[in-house]
Amino acid sequence: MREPRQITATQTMMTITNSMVGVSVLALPRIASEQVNSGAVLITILGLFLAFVGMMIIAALGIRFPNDSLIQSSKAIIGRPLSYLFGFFIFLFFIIIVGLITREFSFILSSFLFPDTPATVLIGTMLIVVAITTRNDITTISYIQFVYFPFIAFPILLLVFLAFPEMDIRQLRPFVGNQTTFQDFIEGSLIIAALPFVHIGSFILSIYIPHTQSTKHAIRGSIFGAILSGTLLSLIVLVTVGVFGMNDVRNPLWPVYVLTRMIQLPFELLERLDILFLIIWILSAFTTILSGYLIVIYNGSQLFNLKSHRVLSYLMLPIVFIMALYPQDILQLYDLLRTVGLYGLLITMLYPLLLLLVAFIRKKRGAVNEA
Amino acid sequence: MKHNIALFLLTLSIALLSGCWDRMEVEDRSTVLGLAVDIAEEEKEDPINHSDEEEIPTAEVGMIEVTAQLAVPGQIPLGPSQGGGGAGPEESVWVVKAVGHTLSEAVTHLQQQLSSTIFLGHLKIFIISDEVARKGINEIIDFMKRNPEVRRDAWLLVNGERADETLEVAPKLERIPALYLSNMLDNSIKMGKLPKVRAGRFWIALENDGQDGYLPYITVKSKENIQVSGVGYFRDNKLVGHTKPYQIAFLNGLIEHNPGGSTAVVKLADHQTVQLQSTKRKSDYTVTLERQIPHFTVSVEITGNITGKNDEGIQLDQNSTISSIEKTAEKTFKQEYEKLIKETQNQQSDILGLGEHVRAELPNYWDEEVKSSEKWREIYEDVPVDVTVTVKVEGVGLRAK
Repeated sequence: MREPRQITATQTMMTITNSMVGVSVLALPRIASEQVNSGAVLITILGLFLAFVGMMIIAALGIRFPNDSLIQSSKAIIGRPLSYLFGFFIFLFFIIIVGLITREFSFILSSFLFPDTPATVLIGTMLIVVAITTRNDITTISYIQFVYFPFIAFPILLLVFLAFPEMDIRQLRPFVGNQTTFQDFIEGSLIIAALPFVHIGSFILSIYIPHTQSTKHAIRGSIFGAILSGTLLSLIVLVTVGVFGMNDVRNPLWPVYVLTRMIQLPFELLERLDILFLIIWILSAFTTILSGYLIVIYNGSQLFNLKSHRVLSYLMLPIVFIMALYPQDILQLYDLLRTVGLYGLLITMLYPLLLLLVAFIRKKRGAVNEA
Repeated sequence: MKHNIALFLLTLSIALLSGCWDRMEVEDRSTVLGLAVDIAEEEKEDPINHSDEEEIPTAEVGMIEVTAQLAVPGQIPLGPSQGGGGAGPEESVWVVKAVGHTLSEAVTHLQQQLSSTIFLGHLKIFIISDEVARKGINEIIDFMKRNPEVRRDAWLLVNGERADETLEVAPKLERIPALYLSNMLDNSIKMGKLPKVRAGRFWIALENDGQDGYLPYITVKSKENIQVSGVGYFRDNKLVGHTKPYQIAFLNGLIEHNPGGSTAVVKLADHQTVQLQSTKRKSDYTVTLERQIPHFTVSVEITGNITGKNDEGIQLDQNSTISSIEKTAEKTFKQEYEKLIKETQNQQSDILGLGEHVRAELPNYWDEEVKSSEKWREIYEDVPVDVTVTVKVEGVGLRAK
């Protein structure tokens, strides 16, 4: 079923930002600092630049195949069997990723808000809400992302603004970190680029391209989206490392959450802001999981030649749910996320790059019938 | 079919969305407002989480006695309108003690004595006795950081004698001693008398490679009141010394704590003194490497007002008097700053975070020569620090002479 092409550049930008600012953001400064201590900000920028390149590869594919999703264009480029094989990898990879971040979401919620609520309920509730939302067509989903955008972007800016006076500039220097090697930076930026929200943020673009008003909108939206989300994420790392310092930021599992406990509104309007930010963070978790789940069912529906992604909305739920329950504890979860994420770079960056190169060599192009 | 699914989802949502798992009534919680940690005097306990035949190793401190101040529900005033009269501190709080090998075990033992769940989300003050702090506080910090309820804006304090005394103090102004104490400390920050050293800040300093932590050092005055009598400074996780009360003002100058507010006596002549109250503090650090040794230059700028004089002979309306006050103050302050730095250097406790300046501004030197916090403390001991002080007197109050 061909859906109308209505998504604008603004909506693309907002969807990418909403998807990038997600569950793992709370852990991002810790992960960045574990690699290169005080070089955390630099490595975040490097990693996100890598993600930006990946996004541009997908966008370049979109220019060549403006009406096709990744799976459709790959059929034309490398032939049916190979495209099915890689399509299946993508499908599988995102099932794992979405399952794991939903579990991460439930871990954080049960640590701070619902200590006695079983994980199955937290995961189940979130996945049911997400599945119901994906029953809409993609244009409607982009409107939903549009609505949530201000609730995610502005609180982050507020957090940065409030935490700014608490910062100590010494904590951020030297920008390249103490006792770091070049190799640390390569590894570190790969690890940042392999974080689940980066995969989701860049791949959601491949789904949006066939539904945007024109490819120009998609390109513009993706560039602004990458810049905006990159700025927000780098700012979060900047203030968190700036406040805690490179050593203390590695102590808590979710340093950004601890940061929300250290800041206060002027005039002590509210004594505790952490709950407020936790609620906002639940929204951002929802938008990220929504994008991830959409990628799963959209690719699935194309893989199995289904009429629409809606067919899989509920069918995929138990599979993602089982995946979410797989990790035993939080440390295993983060290990898994790291390993799976790094292999995922092959799927979300190298594979599109390969497609682009082959398309270039074989001079393949999609049908151009811009409305 | 569609209706059935909708019906099923609706029923499911009643079960799932009501959130009954984490329902918690206020009465079911034992809200801990203050905790105090001492070394247990007698080493007996009724073990509840291990068999008593086995010898259980303790943390660096040894056997711990923990004292908790619990809020009694219904006795806490909800607003200023309900203040005054009513119950005294003896009735609105309850003090409970327990012993354990580690802090977390002691808290488990504490729980055993209480009917309701211990809740640390409102923990305001956490007092460690001098003795405990000198033996090392790793395990205590670990407990506080691991527990998701403990907040970073709680106050961590060192008591000169026994920590539990602090929780038995009965101040006249507030029903809850722990709240009184935490309000007092919060106000001291606002009045510029105490640096912002809540638990969170202290942990950051403790973790930094080129910095050591310091905590307010309190003493109990005549069972009724508490006085901040200096800051206790740490080397790594062990308390190694504490300053005198008046030195907090000089520490505030060095770390640029604003607004100002401390008062210093400036001695002009043998029998002439004036009171100088700071309003603004500014400090600036530069570090240079000379012959492979970092040299520090600290320039402190204090702006203040004269709030009193002891002798009618001092002519405050003359410029020459003011500038001589400024000169004398500069000289005295410089000595005091140097004395404070020297004291911490002798104890290898870099509370100003000079090492962080080295790590941040001379990364090559740090990577090659220092590398670790232990090594930095050794270097810090004899690092040269030059202090320059500028004092500006802005006002002399309402009197014209």
